[in-house]
Amino acid sequence: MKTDHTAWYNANGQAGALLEVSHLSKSYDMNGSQQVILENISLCAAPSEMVCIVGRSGCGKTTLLNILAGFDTPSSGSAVMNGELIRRPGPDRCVVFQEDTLFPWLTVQENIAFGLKGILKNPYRKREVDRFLELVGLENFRYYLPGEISGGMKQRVALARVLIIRPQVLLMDEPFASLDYHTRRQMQDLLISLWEDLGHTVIFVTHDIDEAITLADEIVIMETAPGRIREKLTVPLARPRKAEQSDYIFFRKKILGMYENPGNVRGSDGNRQDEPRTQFNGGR
Amino acid sequence: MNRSAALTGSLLPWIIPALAVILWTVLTKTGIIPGYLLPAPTEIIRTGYFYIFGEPGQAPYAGRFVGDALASVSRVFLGFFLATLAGFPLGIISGRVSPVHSLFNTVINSLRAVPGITWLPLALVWFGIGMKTTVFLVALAAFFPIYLNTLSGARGINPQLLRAGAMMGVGRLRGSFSILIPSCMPHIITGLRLGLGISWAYLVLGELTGVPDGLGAVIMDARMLGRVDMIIVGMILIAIVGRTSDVLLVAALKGSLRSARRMA
Repeated sequence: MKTDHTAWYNANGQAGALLEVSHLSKSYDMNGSQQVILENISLCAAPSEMVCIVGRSGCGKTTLLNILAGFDTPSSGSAVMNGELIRRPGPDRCVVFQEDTLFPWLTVQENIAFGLKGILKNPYRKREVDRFLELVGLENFRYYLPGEISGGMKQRVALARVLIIRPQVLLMDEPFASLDYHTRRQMQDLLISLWEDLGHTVIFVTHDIDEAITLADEIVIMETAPGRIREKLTVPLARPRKAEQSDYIFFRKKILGMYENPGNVRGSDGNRQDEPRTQFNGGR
Repeated sequence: MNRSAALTGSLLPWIIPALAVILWTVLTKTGIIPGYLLPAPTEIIRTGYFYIFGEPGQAPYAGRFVGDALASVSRVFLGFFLATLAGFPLGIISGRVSPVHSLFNTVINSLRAVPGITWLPLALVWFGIGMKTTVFLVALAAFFPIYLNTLSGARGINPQLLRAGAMMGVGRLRGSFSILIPSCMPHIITGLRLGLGISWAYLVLGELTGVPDGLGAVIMDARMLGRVDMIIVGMILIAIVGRTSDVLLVAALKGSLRSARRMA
């Protein structure tokens, strides 16, 4: 059990950052015109930190995640993991996708064991699979195929199959967006408890502000067209966080206020990374 | 569904065949259709019985079934095997590597536009009458459905599945066997089944050219001797053997591959 999730490790990417993005831009050529998706993104994540990237649809947050995963490359700037440029996907940075990407011909337990093939031999592999089945609460569904279980269960399998290979960074692309409210809350609790157990860094992309406040050590707010970082906030609230708490509500108001009053936070030079970080103290 | 409805449901498919056999019997027994055009069903059964179970010499064609069937099955199997050997890997690779696709696609589709039957004269010149020509025609015909279906399966794979494999540290080679091929298994099975089906059609074509044995050869031989009963027996047996081979193919795939078992 980790003790201090509210600690702010590192604001500007000096020693201690596990994942570091600096001045990253991404543009696509669309019908001859340059479409800027991401512009001058800089952020970093410390070991065991939970970072939520919040933004509306189309702000490029999925593109950013794809670059971090190694599925896509930046047009300029860099994404660095452990001091090494990210060039390709790898088991140190695993993704939980928004849609179902389980292998439909494998059972729940075979899906979870997939990444361990060739890494861990039986009986050790089987023991690990059992452990992760239990961690995500699917012991009784191990022989089911993905087509036979619910959306929430599928995302539990998706979590287990990547966490079992112990990635240093877990990248999550709106993984709970298609789940109903109660399932989503359960999955958030599960994510927190797995994270507290296993201590990986999480980069969590969402459009749901409440989800970000519930989960994050740090919230990165993005704006749309082109995708830029509006603001970074540290969330100093103790876990577990409840949406009814007054400091939670205060926080949500602050963030919503930013959406409603654009331009009151930043200068016009677009170089917001050097500005002092806005610190909220939770209204206390 | 109650019992009588279930009974009706299971009887329903047999009504038309039963009526057809009755009509056939009536028309032939009364002589409305002469026996040299269409023999009576009883005659078909007798001929079929001798063909399958009779002793050689007992009657014309008696006891030849096992030898003919073995000859035909081995030609189909060999042709189908060669078609799979070429069509399946080429389809997988073309589906994922677009230069390979560009290299082969136009050529293959142009060849496909040539009707299979028109290869027969050329095949006769190249391979002569017999096994080689038949196998060539079968392999050529079965290649296209196998290749095209495997190709569309490999092209249509959800790219997120491959990404999921890549992020879990699965390399290209292992990914091909453990993600790509299983994920397009329904397409692969469709291609193989279509390929096997068309194999039987082209088997008969190859055997019609005058080989001494085989189910197609028997049909052609019987035509020259005016044995319509034997022609019909041959047609029915080809249908049965062909359908059996399809069932066995699906059973073999499902028995050996869990992706075939769980996705098709």
